[in-house]
Amino acid sequence: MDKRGAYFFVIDAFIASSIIIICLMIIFTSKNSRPDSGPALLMIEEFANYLQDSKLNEVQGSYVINLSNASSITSLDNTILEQAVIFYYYDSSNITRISQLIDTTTRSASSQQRSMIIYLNSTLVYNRSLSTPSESDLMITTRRVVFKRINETFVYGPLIMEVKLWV
Amino acid sequence: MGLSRSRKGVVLSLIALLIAVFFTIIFATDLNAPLDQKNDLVRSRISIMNSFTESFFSYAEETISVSGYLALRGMLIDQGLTHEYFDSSLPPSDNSSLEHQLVYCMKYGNLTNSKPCPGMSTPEKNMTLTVFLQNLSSMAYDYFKMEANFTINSITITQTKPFMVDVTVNLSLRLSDEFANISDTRMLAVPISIEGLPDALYSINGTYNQTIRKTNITKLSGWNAEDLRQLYDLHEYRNYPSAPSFIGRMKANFSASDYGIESFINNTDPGVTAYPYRTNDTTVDYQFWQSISFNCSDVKNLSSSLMPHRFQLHYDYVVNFGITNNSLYTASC
Repeated sequence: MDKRGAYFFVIDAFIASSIIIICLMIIFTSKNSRPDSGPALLMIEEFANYLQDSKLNEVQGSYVINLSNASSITSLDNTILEQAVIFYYYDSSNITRISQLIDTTTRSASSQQRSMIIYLNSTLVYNRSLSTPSESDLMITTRRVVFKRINETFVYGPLIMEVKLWV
Repeated sequence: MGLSRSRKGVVLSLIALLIAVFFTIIFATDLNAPLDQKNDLVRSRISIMNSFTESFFSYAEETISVSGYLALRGMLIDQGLTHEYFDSSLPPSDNSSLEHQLVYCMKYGNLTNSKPCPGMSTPEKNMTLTVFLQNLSSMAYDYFKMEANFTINSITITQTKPFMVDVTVNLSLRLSDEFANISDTRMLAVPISIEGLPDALYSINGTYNQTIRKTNITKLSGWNAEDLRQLYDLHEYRNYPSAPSFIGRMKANFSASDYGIESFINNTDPGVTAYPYRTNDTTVDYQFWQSISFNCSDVKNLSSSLMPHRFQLHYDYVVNFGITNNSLYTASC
């Protein structure tokens, strides 16, 4: 009789501690399973701002200087994004030139460990994919309105620049 | 009896633990919705709206410049067709005033209710400010999932530089979605270059048309005969405070202005040579086309070594261009 009572108390203790452990595991694992989008969101916004605000004369490398010497770039006061829009306006089929411009002027401005693609007016103009988006746990997109004054009587745009980043 | 109590104890312990676990899960996890659960979303939407607002007003500045330039060009083309100046005595609200027609041209592509503004809109392209901003507003919904409504409250034109006019637009924007809304009203003062526009004086009174081209000579004083020759040969304009301004030329207000501009007529043009020669005329554009004449003793005929035949200037101009050697000019009478 006493042995059987002690047996039930032991089982009772085991059941209770099991439930507590399982519940704690559920609680902590459920919290940790959500990826934190904050840093990636900040990064993509800052990257889009960098493209929009940085002038070529602030970021010029050999590629920009060569294009400037060849008169393909007529003003180093243009921002990176404005220059990309100008290239796109005059020759939307020459994506390589836009891609190289973005690549050479943003190397120090973004993490090379993250995948990124940029669309201009729904055309893929920059692709730095380390993995496919479907393999990613987190993909973030930001958009900007872009335009460029071409001459006294014409503004090209507005267009949409879309940046997608995934980890 | 003892066994029965132990069983009850197990059951009660289980129930107690289940209740404890239930409340722990409810309060420790995110199953319940905190009051500020949408803060991140609202913050994100406001950030997007702020970015769009800045883009909207930047785009508006560029398009004000384009539609303002095209509106002025359209009005000047119309002046060349009708050979009529704007009446400077009319208030800006009058349908025939320069200010009213500029507003109408920029907003609707028309000079008046029934008269189109030349060059503002074609079947392929409408270059009015309203259409430019509508294009961007429609993108707000398509790409950012928010409603954008704008109002052009007023458009005014002033001149504070010789080769620029300032078009000031009071513009309001309201953005809204289900999480937030933003309203903003700004005064956008956009300088518009007048270079490349037809000169109303030539279009209305002249025998040939001329577009305004600013000289690359930047001096304010110390002009010389070579400068005069360049202005004449290249049909260039210089800033000269005794001359009428660009807007003055559209309104037949030929009084002296700090923003005055002037050029010299091409006196070898057949239309000009057809005019009977008068000894008291000069070749300064507004003086010639407005038939402003001087005492012929004050009008000097420059030597053919300097300028073309019968190129005449008032003596003040001769001095202004540093032509002090009296062998280089003669009195026209």
